[in-house]
Amino acid sequence: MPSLPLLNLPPSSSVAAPPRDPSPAPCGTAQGAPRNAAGGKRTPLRIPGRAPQDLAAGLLIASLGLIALWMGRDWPTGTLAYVQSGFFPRMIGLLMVLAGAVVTGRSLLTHGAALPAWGWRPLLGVTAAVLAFAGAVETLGLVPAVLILVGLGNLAGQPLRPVPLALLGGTLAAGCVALFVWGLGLPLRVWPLWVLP
Amino acid sequence: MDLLGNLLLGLSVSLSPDNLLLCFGGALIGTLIGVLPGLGPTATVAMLLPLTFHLPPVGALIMLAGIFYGSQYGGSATAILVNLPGESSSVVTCLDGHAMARQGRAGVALATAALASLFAGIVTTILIAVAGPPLAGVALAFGPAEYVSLMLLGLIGAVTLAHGSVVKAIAMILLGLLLSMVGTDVNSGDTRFTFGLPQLYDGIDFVPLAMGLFGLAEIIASLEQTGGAGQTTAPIASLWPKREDVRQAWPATVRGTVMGALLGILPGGGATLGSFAAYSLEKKLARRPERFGQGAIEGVAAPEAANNAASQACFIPMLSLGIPPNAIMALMIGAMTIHGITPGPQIMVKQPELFWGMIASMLVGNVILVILNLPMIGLWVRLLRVPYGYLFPAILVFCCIGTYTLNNSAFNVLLMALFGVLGYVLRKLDCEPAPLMLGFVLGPLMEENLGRALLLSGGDPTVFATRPISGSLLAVAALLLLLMVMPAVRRRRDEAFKDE
Repeated sequence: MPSLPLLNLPPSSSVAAPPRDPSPAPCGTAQGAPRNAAGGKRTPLRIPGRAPQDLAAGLLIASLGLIALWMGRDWPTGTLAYVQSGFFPRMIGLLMVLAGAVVTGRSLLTHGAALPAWGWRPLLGVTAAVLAFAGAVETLGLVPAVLILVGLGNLAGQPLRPVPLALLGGTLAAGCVALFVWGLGLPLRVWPLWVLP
Repeated sequence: MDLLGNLLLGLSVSLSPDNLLLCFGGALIGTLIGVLPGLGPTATVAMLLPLTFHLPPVGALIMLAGIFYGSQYGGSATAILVNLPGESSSVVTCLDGHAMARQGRAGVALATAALASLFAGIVTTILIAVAGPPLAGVALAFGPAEYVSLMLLGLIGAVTLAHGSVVKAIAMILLGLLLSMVGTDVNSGDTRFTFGLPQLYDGIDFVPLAMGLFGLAEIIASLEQTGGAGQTTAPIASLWPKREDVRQAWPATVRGTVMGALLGILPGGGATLGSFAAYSLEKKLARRPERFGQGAIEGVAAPEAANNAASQACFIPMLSLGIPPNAIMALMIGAMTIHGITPGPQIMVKQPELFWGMIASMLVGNVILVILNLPMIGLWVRLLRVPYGYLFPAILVFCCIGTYTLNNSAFNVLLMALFGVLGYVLRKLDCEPAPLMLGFVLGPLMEENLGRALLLSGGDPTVFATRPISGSLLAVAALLLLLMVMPAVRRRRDEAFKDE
């Protein structure tokens, strides 16, 4: 177990470590704390710059601010005494560009964390499953939508074998119908129209 | 005595069979989800919000509060048994809690956590009952300028007392404010940031945003780390602390409670700061500090008490001022708005049964939690061993149906997927989603009050500084920001949160 630098430590102990330590020791040395574990497992992406993670964050923030400013370019700001609908968006957009610029600028001047590796598989699997559910729930009905969600979601992690997967999907679909349709009486379509009109 | 009468009114509400059942159910389900590794209280409350849509307002809030402290207790159980903190506030519990578990004293650690939380919960509930009404009285005298300054102070406090980069946290608040502007402007009727989509004319719903940012993003991040396997847990032998344990733990519990309650009232202070500060205080006071990290029972009792005290003390600014000090209270405010309740100082006067019912339900809930959890620890252990591959599809299904049934809109499910991706990207860039949620909830209030304050002053922006209350709130906010820029303070702050 690593020693914990907490509030009561004398400041001298921190001189060795830079203020923005790129890889602080996670508390669970065995399994790793949730946030920091990912970076250690795979080799991080390399992009130029001294603090790639902050660089990316700064650019993202600044570009979101710019988009907001561009979208609100024609909205009326009014006067200070009578503020109109364009005032607040412009103010926040400007502040975002400013914040993004500060983060970007600092990332070029100081050393910092590298970009962590992306978990493409869970990201794409979960997102695809949820999007498919959104598309299926009104056209196909609740039961097919849940089955599709479970089936696609299964690809996001270590896939289950077919029999446990089918059992899981069936149980969840039945449970949803029982809880939401029969229990709470929500107006949901359960089956596709061509099965049960 | 007025306080006693109010508490009795509250107890009569919270002990009604319906509400008692909801409180029990909330604590149970909250613990159930909170035990799952990687799902902290914020994610749990966000995912379980839909359960409460169809309940009467008082019942819904009682259940949500139950879910909240249930999930917090569940998170501590995971921290102790598998050394995985669900949220930053239980990071410290891992240190000595898991060390105790490895020595075969997991049961004692869990019981200590439960009993310390119970004590802290009861003390803080009484504090809320005492401190809430006077604070609300002050807030009733607030004008728009004071509200703007108060919200600004709350937001600044939230970023300076949280961990990570301050500028990034401010940027996240701004992003939340931007998202809150999507839809039709109430004053002019102009539509803003709608991309021409009629589904966005009413603005972004709070539920898909919260579920995407916290729920889906957490699921993706957990899958990335575990790949879907279950956890190996430490075995549990005896449950009851020995007399020696109790003697060591109770002073630590009292100190942790005081520390947590004090820090919890501060905007943004919340549970994390409380538990870290309580742990370091115990270590400083201990006769043999080297025992810490090796399974010292004070190292479990103090942060757990502080954690619980702080998270309940957060209800004080939320209930009396209507200003959420952290993301969970922002979720509570969102839930209140869904039920048509405007949080703020007027609730206490207009809906006393809601206010006092909720406070009394915290007393009841804390007791239920201990009764519920001591016998059920074995069950939670078994749940932890279930492979995540079976659990996460169930959680996904729940998130999707919950969001869909909010107003039978598949568009909300699409939005949730989008915000899930956003939440994951932000996490990878080390940007906290919690300040975003605060900004989103406070955005409309802030814009409205800013416009109104300027209108009343005839376009004079100095009004925020010249009105005495507003000016002093702004001064405190500026002081906080200034402190953050000073290198010495920043270094200490980085150290305090380093272990996350």
